[in-house]
Amino acid sequence: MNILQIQNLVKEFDGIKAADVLSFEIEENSIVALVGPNGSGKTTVFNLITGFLRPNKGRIFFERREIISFSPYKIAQLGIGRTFQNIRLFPQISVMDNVMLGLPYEQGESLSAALFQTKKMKLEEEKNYQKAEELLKVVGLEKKKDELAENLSHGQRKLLELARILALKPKLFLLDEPTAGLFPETKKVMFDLIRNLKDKGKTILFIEHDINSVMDIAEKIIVLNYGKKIAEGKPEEIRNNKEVQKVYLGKTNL
Amino acid sequence: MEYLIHIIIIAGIYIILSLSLNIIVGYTGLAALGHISFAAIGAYTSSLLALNFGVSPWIGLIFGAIFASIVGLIVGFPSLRIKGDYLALATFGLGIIIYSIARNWVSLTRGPMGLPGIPQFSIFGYEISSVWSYLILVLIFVIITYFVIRNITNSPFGRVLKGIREDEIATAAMGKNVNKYKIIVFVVGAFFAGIAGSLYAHYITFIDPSSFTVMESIVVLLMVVFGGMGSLAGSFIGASVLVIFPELLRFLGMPSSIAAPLRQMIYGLLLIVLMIWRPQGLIGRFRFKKT
Amino acid sequence: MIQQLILSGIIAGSIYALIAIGFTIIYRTIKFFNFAHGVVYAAGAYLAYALFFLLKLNPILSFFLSLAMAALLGIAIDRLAYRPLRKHNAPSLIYLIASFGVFIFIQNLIQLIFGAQILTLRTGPVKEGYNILGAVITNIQVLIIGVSLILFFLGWLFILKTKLGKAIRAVSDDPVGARVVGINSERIILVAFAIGSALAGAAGILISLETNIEPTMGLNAILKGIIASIVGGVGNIPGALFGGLFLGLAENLGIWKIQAGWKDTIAFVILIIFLLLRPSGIMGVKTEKEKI
Ligand SMILES: Nc1ncnc2c1ncn2[C@@H]1O[C@H](COP(=O)(O)OP(=O)(O)OP(=O)(O)O)[C@@H](O)[C@H]1O
Ligand SMILES: [Mg+2]
Repeated sequence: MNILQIQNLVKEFDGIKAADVLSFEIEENSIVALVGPNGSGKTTVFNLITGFLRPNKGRIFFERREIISFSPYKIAQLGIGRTFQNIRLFPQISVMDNVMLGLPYEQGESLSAALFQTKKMKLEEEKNYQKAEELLKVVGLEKKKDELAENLSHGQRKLLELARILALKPKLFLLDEPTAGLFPETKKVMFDLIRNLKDKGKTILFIEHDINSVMDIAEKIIVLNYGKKIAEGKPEEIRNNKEVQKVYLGKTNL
Repeated sequence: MEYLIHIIIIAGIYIILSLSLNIIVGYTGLAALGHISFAAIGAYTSSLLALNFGVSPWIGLIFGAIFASIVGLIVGFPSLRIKGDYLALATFGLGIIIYSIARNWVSLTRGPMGLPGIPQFSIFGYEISSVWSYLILVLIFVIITYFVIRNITNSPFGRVLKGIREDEIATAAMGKNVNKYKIIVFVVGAFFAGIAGSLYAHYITFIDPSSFTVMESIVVLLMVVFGGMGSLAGSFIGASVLVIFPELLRFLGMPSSIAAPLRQMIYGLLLIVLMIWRPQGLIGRFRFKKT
Repeated sequence: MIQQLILSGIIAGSIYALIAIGFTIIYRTIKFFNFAHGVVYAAGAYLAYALFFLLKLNPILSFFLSLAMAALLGIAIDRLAYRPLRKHNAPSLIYLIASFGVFIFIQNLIQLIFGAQILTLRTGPVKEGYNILGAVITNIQVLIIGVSLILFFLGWLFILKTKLGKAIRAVSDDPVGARVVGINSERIILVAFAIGSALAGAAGILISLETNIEPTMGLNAILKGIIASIVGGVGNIPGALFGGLFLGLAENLGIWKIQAGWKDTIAFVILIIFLLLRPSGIMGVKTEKEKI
């Protein structure tokens, strides 16, 4: 079954077509990679799916539901979580609070709960604190929980951003270059975490420049160039695709 | 002694203003520069209700605060679209519009002549007219404001506010309705500023537009920044120091034609120096950062 | 009546445009709302007052000396208040707050020196004016409009034609590129402050030929200058002229049927409408939304 369906998406930025009649589908519980040269529109596709940009044309369905007119927060609540290419943490608050901001609250987040410091709020807060602690353990940052996020290293930030999105418990993960700038060891941790997600029944769409990793982990690859989909298929199909080779010629060792 | 108590009362009123601005600027990171206009609305509402309809100041205070928060709601909407410096300018502009309404809508506010003879608070028929009893009244409101704002900021709700301050886009990506929070914050901040204005009016028993100029908004901002954005204790310190310290100039026996501008010059210098050396304020941790 | 209002609008508008172009030249290099620009305007008027009445210099000399001193004041403000912030790589809100600090400091310094009372640069009674199309215009008013427009166009020419003007544009449009081709941005900022502040000082002097001066005159001036810039499109020089005249006329025609006290309200309603509906102004380029 498809969890995400994109139909004829068009997005223009003063003349540049960042998405050009783009269509694809994502199978539930699969790992799909979105690749393409710099500026080919990968991040734009993420922004369109998550409601941060509105397309000029086209439709987007998440679990058969049209989400094109929804605000970003609504889309996140429906179950699409994303990370950002340029890592967007909450720098001047603690690592712990960063993760807790990802956790959904039932009652605790209302103004009245805060005003009266209700029991329910405190209980939920305690529960969420533990959940956040566990998530920090999962990514190996439990020792840093009281540090300000701005004091983390690049790799730790990437991991924290992942922990935060894990906290949101989305059904579909959109990860924008999750391993960019990471050391090989951290890269491996990251990919293991991604594989783990699939085992837990989640769906992952990720952007990645390192083709070897893509071939290794993705079940399906979608290749963009100038906002157009030029190929889609299993890793070996993509490896042998002439057009893809042309686009990547001299750029990567495909 | 009475004079000293008077100063503490004024400091208390500024503490309420600073705390209520801090939740907007320091916790949520919204550059709001028209805070004193909410106080003006509180002050004028409860004074006019008392003078024209004989409404008790207690009820007037509540109406003033509610009316201020309605205006806060209206001011909150631009903050959904306008960001950063432009929001600072827009709120500054709204502050000037409200000042200019107070000045020009003469049939309602008596304009620059002001409203004299505003009645004082009374309990069981006794007027709260001695500075001592007023001090207690103001302190009660300071404590209420403090606990309300502390509770709000010390909660998952408050965490979302900090999230908005740190990164609005990431906050939205976490499924939080950023707009709703921003509006609530303006409403709450305006509510308490309205209370501060009403307390001021019924204490001094006279108001005119000159108490609510944009410079006054800047002074409240300075108090917040000086103490530390996002620090409630900082607002206590900022407001107290900046109210009490200029009085020392007076004790030095300076004529007010020198003391008044000198005091302002020191405020100005303080703003510059803080921005250069300590943008997070005396005891704050947060400062605006380049994104 | 309407003719007179239009004339008042043009006078106010040309002063606003002159404030706005100075503000724009500075804004181009530093990219924040420099409120202190308004206090330089006030300082210009007071400097001219001091030179002319207290030191009894001749009026032309007083005028140009005041401009030079306003320029120096602008440079000093930048060196002492903003340059340290540049070293810290501070965000624009920090600059904005600092510029309030500068504003408050200098305004009150003026008050300390000259007192809070109103002063005037006028030397005699107001002369009868000429009648043009039903509006009465005095010599002084012709002078104000003429000189402010001349200075405006000189400022514009400076940005368009001179080497320094081009450097300012380069720093504005592409700071990294400007550094690469060897433009010293600190020096360019200094030049922008000098020119922009001299223009602000000129506006302050010109207006005080017509109205009284007081230490607090700068706030209204800078606010109107900024509104004019936003209406025209921040950073855009022809936009500053358009915005200035638009604002001056709108304010003055707006009070045709209502009391004059509402002028400021009109100006700020215009500001908020523009901020909400067209923050890039009439001639500005669309402001870039934050890339995610
Ligand atoms: N907010 C925006 N405003 C204007 N143009 C934009 C915006 N976002 C993206 N673009 C343009 O759209 C095109 C696609 O950009 P996008 O960021 O989606 O590419 P990408 O595939 O993610 O590239 P990279 O691999 O470098 O991250 C580029 O030409 C970019 O300049
Ligand atoms: Mg990208």
